[in-house]
Amino acid sequence: MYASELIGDPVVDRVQEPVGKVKDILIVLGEVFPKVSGLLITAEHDRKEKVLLLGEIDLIGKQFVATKSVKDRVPLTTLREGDILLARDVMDKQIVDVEGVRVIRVNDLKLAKVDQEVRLIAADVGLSGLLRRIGLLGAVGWLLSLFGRKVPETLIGWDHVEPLKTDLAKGRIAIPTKKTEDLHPADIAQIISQVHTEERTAIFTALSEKTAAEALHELEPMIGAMLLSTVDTKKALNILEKMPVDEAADLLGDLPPEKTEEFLRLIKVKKAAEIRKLLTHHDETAGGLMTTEFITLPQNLTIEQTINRLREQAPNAETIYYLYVVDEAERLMGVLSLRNLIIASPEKILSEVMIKDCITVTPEMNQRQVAGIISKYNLLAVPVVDADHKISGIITVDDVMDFILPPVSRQKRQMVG
Amino acid sequence: MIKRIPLWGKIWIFLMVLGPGIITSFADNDAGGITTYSIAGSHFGYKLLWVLVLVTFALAIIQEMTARLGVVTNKGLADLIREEFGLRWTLFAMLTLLVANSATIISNFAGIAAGFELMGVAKFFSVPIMAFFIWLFVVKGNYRQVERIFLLLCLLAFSYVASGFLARPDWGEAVRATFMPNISWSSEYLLLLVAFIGTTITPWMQFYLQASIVDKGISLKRYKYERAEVLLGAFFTDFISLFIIIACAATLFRHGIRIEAAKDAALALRPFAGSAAEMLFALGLIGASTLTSFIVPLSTSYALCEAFGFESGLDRKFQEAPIFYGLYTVLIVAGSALILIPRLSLVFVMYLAQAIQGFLLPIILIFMLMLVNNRRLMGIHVNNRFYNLVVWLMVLGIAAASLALVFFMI
Repeated sequence: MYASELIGDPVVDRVQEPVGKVKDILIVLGEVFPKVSGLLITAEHDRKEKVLLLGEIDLIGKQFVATKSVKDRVPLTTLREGDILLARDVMDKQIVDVEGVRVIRVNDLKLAKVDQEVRLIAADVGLSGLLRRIGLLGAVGWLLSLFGRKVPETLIGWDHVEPLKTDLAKGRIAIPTKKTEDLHPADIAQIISQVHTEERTAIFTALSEKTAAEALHELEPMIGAMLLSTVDTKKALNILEKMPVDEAADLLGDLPPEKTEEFLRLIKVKKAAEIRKLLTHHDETAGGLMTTEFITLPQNLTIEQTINRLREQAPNAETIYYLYVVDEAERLMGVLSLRNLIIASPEKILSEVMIKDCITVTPEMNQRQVAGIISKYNLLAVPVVDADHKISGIITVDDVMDFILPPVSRQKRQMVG
Repeated sequence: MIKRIPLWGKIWIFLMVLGPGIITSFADNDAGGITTYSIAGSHFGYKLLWVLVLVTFALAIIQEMTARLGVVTNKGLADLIREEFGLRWTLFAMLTLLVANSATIISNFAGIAAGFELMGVAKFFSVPIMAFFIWLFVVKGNYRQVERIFLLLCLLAFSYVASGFLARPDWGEAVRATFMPNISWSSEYLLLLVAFIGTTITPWMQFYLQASIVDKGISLKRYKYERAEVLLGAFFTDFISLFIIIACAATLFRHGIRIEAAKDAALALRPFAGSAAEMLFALGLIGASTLTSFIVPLSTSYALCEAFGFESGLDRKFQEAPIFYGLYTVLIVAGSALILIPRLSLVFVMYLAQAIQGFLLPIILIFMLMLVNNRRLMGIHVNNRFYNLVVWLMVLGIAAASLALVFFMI
């Protein structure tokens, strides 16, 4: 959603009674992608300008804004000195694009819903912004589509924006620069998924390897794969190394085969072998969903030995809430939860305390069925076993959670259009 | 041992350090300017001298206002319009500027064509070659030096001063007309009045001057020097204008010759240059027209890109600033192509272009007045009442003349 689309929108209460009209948008500074704190509206009854705080708003859309309470109960405040308004203080002004090192004018501003907040995420500095402001974007877009072209959209992520120095000197707007890193990776992912391709790359390349790895998990594998192929190979490798194998496999599965092969040759041999194994499974089956990073233990270990071993092994495993007990041929004999382990007396051996008939799934099983099983038995993870009852991987609850309830970035945006 | 700088070296150095105020004033007496003042002198004698006095006064005040706006805000006029008035008003202002400047560009190519025709070169050769030459020097980025050569040619305008004296004008009549306003309510007179104002105070000058001042980074402390230069420039421009009118009044008007083509206008230089008058006039016209043809398309592209946020600047590559270069190219190509229409009256084109600028000037002036009186922008440097009064009278004056003209034409 763009600031220009929001400004001028009618504000209605919960029973559709008119409250006023959006005049401007208030933001609070302090974060890379500033939060919208409220709307400046022209009140319906007395034509005065009032502030409607975000907390009082039920829905913000391109067509209208709806408040939570009824007309007469809507709390309105007044504008304070030092409040920053998008249309008054930011739109039409010049900004410095730190990445491209150039001065550019703000034609429009892109807003997006990130979690419960609405944030300013990018400045539209191109033709599309101009056309949208004068209400011709639709018409020109249609005309160009006749020739198979699109109106070029030029967005600059707010993380790469600094106000022009001359404006700063006059104390008009001062937007402190802060790193994207300070945001939660899931939020970064959401912002990435909503900006223009070029800007995605710019935001992504600026991230540290660790944050990039975490953010990639939250993104659609298609977008992730695209981003991964834009950074240089060394950085891509480091990012892949920091990702759990199953997610790395998901990502590589969306890359062209020769690119995948190139990465696999360069990744550490052991990890590459696991990824290769995972890549053979179909995406939508248990095999495609599972991770190969889990903890297996021999039957004859004592509880005490087990705890010691966990301390050594655990850092690599995706989950340690379930421990899988196997025989010499890697066949699954039983399962033990962390709780079982801790409450058992230290000298007992594993085969005595483990649960023998545990729930398992096969690699070919459809992911929907897997999700059903995890949900039915309230599991944190389920082991994947082959025909010989050999354990080949586990599927954790957050893997199927992504399937049942996709990460925020993949959802259809509800509040912000 | 002190090395002596030869005379031409000194002239060169002087030309290289000339400020925005002086260059603007030179470019002000462009093809349209020379034509309009010549028509004023030869068709109405000394009758418009009183207008010249008032216009000079207004020009000085408006140029000072522009310079002050640039020095205090450190921003170009297009920048300020966009930031203070929003996108819709900017569209309106830029459309106005585009129309006015296109008229100027066309009129200056007409000037180039007329100048070369006097020298016996057909416009079908001179205009495309000069257009390409101007385009190339600007795009290659070394036009600044070339610009000075044409500035030098503009100095030929001083021959009007000599001619004005040598033609033995009726000084008594000239002085009387200067201080005794008279208006004749004919459409011919009113059109001339609007063109007269439009050629002296042009929309593009305000954008160009302010941009040059911001470019030079003149500080508030040094502002008094800049103001002196701007004021000097304004009076200097109209000093030349004054003598164009006097020279034409003393020669063409006395003999009842009306200007139909450039060669008629050249007659005013006869008393000074004799048989070389046509050559002198041609060179001066080419110099002034080319100088303005360098400045106006470039200044238009800068202003439009500035206002709408497109990349601009001659230090950018074509791919980096396609709209900037594209617009610049279109302005030159379209402007010069129009002149190639056969049997086009070049003098009429030059004259009409000035009237268009005159009609559109009030719009730009109103924007400027609102900006310069904005306390948030200008602080204590807002206009005083006297300035506001003069400029508002100017705006109303042109508007009234334009309306009266429309009324008479119908």
